[in-house]
Amino acid sequence: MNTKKHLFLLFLILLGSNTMLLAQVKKTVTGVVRDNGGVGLINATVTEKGTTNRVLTDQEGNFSIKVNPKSTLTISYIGFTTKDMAVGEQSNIAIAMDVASNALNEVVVTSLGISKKQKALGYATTTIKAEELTKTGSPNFAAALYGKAPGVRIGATPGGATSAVNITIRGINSITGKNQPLIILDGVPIREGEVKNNDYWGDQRLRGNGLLDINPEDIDNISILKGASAAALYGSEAVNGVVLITTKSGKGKKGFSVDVNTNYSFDKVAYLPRYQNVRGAGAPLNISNGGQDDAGFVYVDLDGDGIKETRSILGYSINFGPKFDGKPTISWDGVVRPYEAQMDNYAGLFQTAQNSSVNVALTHSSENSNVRFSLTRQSNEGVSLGAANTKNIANMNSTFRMGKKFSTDLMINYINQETKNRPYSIDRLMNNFTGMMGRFDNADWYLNKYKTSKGYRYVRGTNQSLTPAENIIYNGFKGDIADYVWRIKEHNENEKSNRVIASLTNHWQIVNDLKLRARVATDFTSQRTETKQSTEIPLSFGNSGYFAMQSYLNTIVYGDVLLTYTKKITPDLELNVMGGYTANKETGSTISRSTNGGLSTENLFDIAASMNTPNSSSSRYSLVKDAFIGTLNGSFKDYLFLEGTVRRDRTSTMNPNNNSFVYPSVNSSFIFTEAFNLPTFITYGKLRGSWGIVGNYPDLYSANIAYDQNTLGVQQVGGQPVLYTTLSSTFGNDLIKPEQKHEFEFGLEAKFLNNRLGLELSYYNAQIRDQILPLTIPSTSGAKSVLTNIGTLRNKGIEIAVNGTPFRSKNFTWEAGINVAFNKNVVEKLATGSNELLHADYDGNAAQLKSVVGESMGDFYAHPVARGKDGGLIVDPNGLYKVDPNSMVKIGNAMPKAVGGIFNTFTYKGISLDVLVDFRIGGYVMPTAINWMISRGLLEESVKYMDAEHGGLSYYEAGGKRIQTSAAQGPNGEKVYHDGLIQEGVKLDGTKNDYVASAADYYWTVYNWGGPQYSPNTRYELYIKKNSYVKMREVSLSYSILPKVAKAIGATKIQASVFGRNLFYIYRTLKDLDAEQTTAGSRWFQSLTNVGTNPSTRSFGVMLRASF
Amino acid sequence: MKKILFVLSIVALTVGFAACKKADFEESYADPSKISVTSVEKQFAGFLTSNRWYVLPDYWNYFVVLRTTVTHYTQAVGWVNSPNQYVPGYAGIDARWDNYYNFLAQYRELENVYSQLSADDQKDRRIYMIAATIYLYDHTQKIVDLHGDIPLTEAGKLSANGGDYAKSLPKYDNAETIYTKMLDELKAMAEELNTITVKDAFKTGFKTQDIVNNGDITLWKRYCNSLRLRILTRVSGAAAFQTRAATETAAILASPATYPVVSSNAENVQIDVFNLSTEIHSKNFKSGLEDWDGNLAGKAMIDHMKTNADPRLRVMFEPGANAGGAYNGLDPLATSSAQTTLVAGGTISIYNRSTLSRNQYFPGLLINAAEVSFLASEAYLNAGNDAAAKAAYNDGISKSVKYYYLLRSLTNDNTSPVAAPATDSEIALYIAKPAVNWDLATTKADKIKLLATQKWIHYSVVQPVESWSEIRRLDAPVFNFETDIANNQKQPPFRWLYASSEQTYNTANYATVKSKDNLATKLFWDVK
Repeated sequence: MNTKKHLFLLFLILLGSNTMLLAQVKKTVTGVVRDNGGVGLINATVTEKGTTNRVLTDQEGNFSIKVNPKSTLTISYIGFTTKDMAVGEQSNIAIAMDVASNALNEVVVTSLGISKKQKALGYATTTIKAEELTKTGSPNFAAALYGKAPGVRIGATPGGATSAVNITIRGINSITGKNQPLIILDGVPIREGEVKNNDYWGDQRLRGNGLLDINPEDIDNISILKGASAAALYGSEAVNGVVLITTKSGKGKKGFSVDVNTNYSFDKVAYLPRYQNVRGAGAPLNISNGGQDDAGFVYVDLDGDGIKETRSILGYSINFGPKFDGKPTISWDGVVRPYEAQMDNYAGLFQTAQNSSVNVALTHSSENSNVRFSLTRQSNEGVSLGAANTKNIANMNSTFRMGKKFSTDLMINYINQETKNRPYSIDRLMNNFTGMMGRFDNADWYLNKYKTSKGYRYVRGTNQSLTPAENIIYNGFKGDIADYVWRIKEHNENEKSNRVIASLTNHWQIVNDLKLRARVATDFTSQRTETKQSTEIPLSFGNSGYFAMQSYLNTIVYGDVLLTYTKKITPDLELNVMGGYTANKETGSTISRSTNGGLSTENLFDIAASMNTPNSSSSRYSLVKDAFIGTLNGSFKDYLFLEGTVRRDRTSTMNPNNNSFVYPSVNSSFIFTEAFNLPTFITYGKLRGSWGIVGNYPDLYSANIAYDQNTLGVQQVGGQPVLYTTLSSTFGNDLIKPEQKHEFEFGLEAKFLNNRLGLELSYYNAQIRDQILPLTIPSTSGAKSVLTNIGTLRNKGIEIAVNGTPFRSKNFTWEAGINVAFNKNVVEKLATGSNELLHADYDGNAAQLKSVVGESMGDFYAHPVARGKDGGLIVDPNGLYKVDPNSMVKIGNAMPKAVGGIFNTFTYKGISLDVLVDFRIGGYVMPTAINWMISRGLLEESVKYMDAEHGGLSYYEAGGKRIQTSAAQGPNGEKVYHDGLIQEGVKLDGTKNDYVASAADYYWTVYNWGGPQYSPNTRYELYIKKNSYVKMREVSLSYSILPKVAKAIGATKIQASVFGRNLFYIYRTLKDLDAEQTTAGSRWFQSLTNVGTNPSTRSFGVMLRASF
Repeated sequence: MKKILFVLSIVALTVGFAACKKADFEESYADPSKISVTSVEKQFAGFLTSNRWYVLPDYWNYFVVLRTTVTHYTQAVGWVNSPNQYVPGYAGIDARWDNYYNFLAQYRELENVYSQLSADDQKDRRIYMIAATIYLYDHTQKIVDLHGDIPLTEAGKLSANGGDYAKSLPKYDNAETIYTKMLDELKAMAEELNTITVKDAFKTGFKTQDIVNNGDITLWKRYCNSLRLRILTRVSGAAAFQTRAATETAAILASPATYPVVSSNAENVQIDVFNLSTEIHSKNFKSGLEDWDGNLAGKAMIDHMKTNADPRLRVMFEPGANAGGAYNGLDPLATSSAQTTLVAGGTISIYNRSTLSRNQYFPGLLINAAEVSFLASEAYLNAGNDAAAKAAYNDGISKSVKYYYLLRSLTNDNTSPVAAPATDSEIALYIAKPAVNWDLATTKADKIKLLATQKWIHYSVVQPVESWSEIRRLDAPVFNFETDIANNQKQPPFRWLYASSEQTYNTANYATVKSKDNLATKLFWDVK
């Protein structure tokens, strides 16, 4: 016999004996798993201990499993204590599960990735589990956090999946600095990246931030460290709290399993302003004479016979013109159409964004290792035309144990991403009178006409063109909209990036009590961007078009070493000492080149096509931080815990002679349910208290004072290059001190009635000293800002979370919870000696945003209406209130008073309905562009008084005055207008006002741009509005097919769901925009006034999840 | 135990080696692209460079600052009337103001660096300070003429004050005091330039760094004295300055050897564009002037030039695309609808694109020969020397004509065909036309009107701020503007408002000038 045959035989024998073994020994055990109230538990896992043999319970909690005799069954169910049960001789077992006093043994990830028992923590943390992040297919984890963690506020820039998301924890901690928490992924600080999307002239596209790259499907849980004590080990990086992300690993699973998740959703533009649909562009003749006839129209000659026969509107940006009458009127594209409102005309500039995600994860666990490998393909679009993003994310998370003393964790997260055309800012369509689309105008017309038939940019008037017949010559055309369309269509920006976040952690149990952990990690991003802007005019007319390429590299190298010594001093007293060192270096560079003076060949996109010497630019940076850290923990009888920590850190953003600071903290927790005998309805109770200091350093390179140096090149025949220096208009400060947040906090956590009801309460009080601020100064002083330690802030607040299971029966469960956080912010002191600090002056002293000592940060001020001697509001001869140019009063404060969320989960058999509502109370915004739309006569609000039907008074004009009348014409045949209104108030001489204002003039002027110097009747007090809302944030309806059925096709779980996000408002104070429409940057003051990023959206989707 | 000690020492050693050193922090403290020390030479060039986009024609200055303000007030262009058009916009005012004060801050830093040198080193580099001060005062006059009183003597000192911002909030200096100070110092510098010796070792450096006059000290003299003429003329009507203006102007004109001025187009003081690939260029003049029809011709100017066969017409303007070669200006009194139709019709002339907006070599003009001739003419006229006044006037016209042809010759654009050169006889014919002829103007007032008209054409869109100042001072030429019924400001203003940052951030000092901060306050030299 040859070898092959031998092997074959051997194989047969093995197979046979194996089968025989199984056939001979196994027996079937049936049973039922119930909770201690007697209700059967669905989908509980029943495993034969030490094997991968397992089953799930059915709808009634019944199971059936074949096991070896004398084996032990392990029964586990989320929220219940895992139970072992020896089978013995039984064949039918009833198992009663105990609700896990989860807090007793639950483990929470804390600073530096150290896991601690929840009950030992003396400070508040909120942990959010994987399921809660993925229910509604959020493309990033931050947008899945709305309303889920008390004291955590989320703000997403409109525009879709590529736009930045902000996280704010426990109010605003920095007057102008960073407000974003530190983000730590499996112990590694990652590039979170601040963004600013309110600077149109600096960058027309909406940027994202680094946290968007983290795939929610790979997250096991998120732990949010809110207070100073919780975050103290992060010292100067933790003033805004810390978000710790732990990715999924194979831990806690047995054997081999596969999870597949896939979802599809779409975002549609939503929450647009309420447009009026009654009239078009123009103005009454008495308000503005642009040559229109009495009816408000002008006429053009279409057939070339010299007679102007075709009706046209005025080319005005204001829309107080003639009412829509459906009669033929020429629009700017040369088409004669019925004169009527074009519904949804503006929304036509945007697309429905389609998003999908497919994730496959393989997990394998064995005695010596566990590995999870996951692959995700995400594809997202923005509502901005052509904006698309695809991501391939590979994640590996593994632990290898080598003997009893060593283990190694390896985490690699690789994100390969391509972003085409990040959403283009709509600033010019919103914050700009000449870009607001009128009602007799349409996105389709622009999409049709933005380029000529020869592919060049549209041409206006008689400007040079190869297709003069196509030139745009009729009224009503908005160049800004056409420019926008040209750019979204013909300016392409393609971004390709590769990012690797990886860490390697070694654990060494040196001796019984002594442990060493060493970690090295990196977050590396490499990105290439190509910009292609099409040729705009034929080469014979000149050179146009543009090409640029840019590469960006960012590297974070992180390392830490921790040595831990644990000693049980007496059976009741345990001590734990830890010392360590961490260091972090971030470097980055950007290099770009671009064409100069247009392209030499039409649409040839390369640097080689540059007409002049190509532009080039580069920048680089490096940031070094390190720290020594130490902690001391003690526990007594497992119910009293005390911890002290200290961190001494250094940073390169401060003067090297004064860059080291110490951050201490202490915290303690006391489990009173274990210390005392309490009534049984109290399942668990913990009191905690903590105190700590964390800090914040100035931004990179902002403290150092140095000259900018550059060259002008050679400027004369035979000359030398001209080198020159200038002093920056942002002035540094070598003596700057770090900000410090001193915070204390008390809390209570309790669970009642066997965990049917849970309660968590926190009170915190934080003082943030030496706020670092680039203080704005007048340019006449020699710079525009100077870096300063400006003052002291205080944030105090209460966080309450209640959750419970109001109803539970065999088939139906209702779980619900509410959390709410109240934060009060006070400016306590300003170092300038002044009583107030000005953040921004809007529109030429029309309004101001300032912080006043004793008040919350961010007060909006505006000029009130001037009052006469006896207090009456003064009306000017034009019939409009006179704005007092000499005083400003507080209208509202930008800080929300409270934020929170309410969730409800209803489960009936395999069907589950999740409903999440989030809310915000208070906090003012000034969405200026919305008011400018009123001034342009575009919104519903501006329709009031427009004619008798809308409450307008009738009047005629004589001698420069408007006189009320009820006659059909004035005494001398003057025309009678019907758009009058009379403001309640007094004239300058103190008598009751009888000046008649015209409605068009009223809206146009009162909601105009500019301070009293420019526009004496414009009332910015009307612009500042409270932003409270209750929103249906997430709804998801899911169905899990019966475990039996699932099993039949080899799965352990199959779940399908439909979901919606950002669905509708239950209540809102801002009617013409989404509550988050003003979110335009990572810093708080960047998110109060600008509505010109992208429209807000509403999303719907479907999802399928399966496990094998 | 031994094992533990061993492990601990290994850990300590590793951390010791791998840990960050103080040097790592020092290295990363300063921005690698910046430097910590500078020199008089480099800071001088930095100072000159920092306001270049308000000297060389550039997008922001032309499109944002001038397009909606000064070029309308001077009717240097034609435009479509719109509501609120006579209230100068805040974007433009702030931009120009901030630029001037950044420029001043660079000058203060130059003073700072200079003051830290030894007496000998200072002496060697004295020429830099003189040149810088002349250049500073040229631009200071402009900003005073736009706003009135401004912060000057205390302004820009944040760096000198070590970053103490409270101490650095500057008071406002009276406009007249600033004029006096500039005149005193410029006079002293005019004298000093006659005696100064610059060592050869420093001449080369100065030649390189001086992007205005390429190190030519005589040209700096001419610049200094021409600037004095300009400043003296501006205040010649103000009571407090009348005598001084007459005396000093006469002294300058009487002794060209001691007080040389810019006397030919070859001596024009300007920043030349040498290499388009450097940061000294006029590549953005095109979008600055042409965008949104900012280059339309005004009716008054075109009518004058057409009627009198002005030899500059064909080099300064080009006919509208559909005008069949005819020159037409836009009437400011037509309704906006009629104006819009006209503009869309393509019959309105535009500024010659090849000479001006698309001329990427267009120089950054500071002071030129024609302008100096007109200043001299007015001085002679005031002094009762009509013959000299006439000669200077005619000379100014001739230089202005040649100047525009000179600009055309610099261009790298041929969108508009090359204009036939203006001959001397053509210029002579123009000078003889009734609306131009010196002798036909019988009164002094009429002669001033002639001068004013010539200045206005000469300045056109090239020196708009000078043009507006002179029109305000001379109240000529007289223009008609549409009355704005939508705004309290019915006609063009007499000055600009202050930048908004002043009332917000320099509140206490601003309070001292607040009463003057409106559009109706006239400049002190605007006495008519």
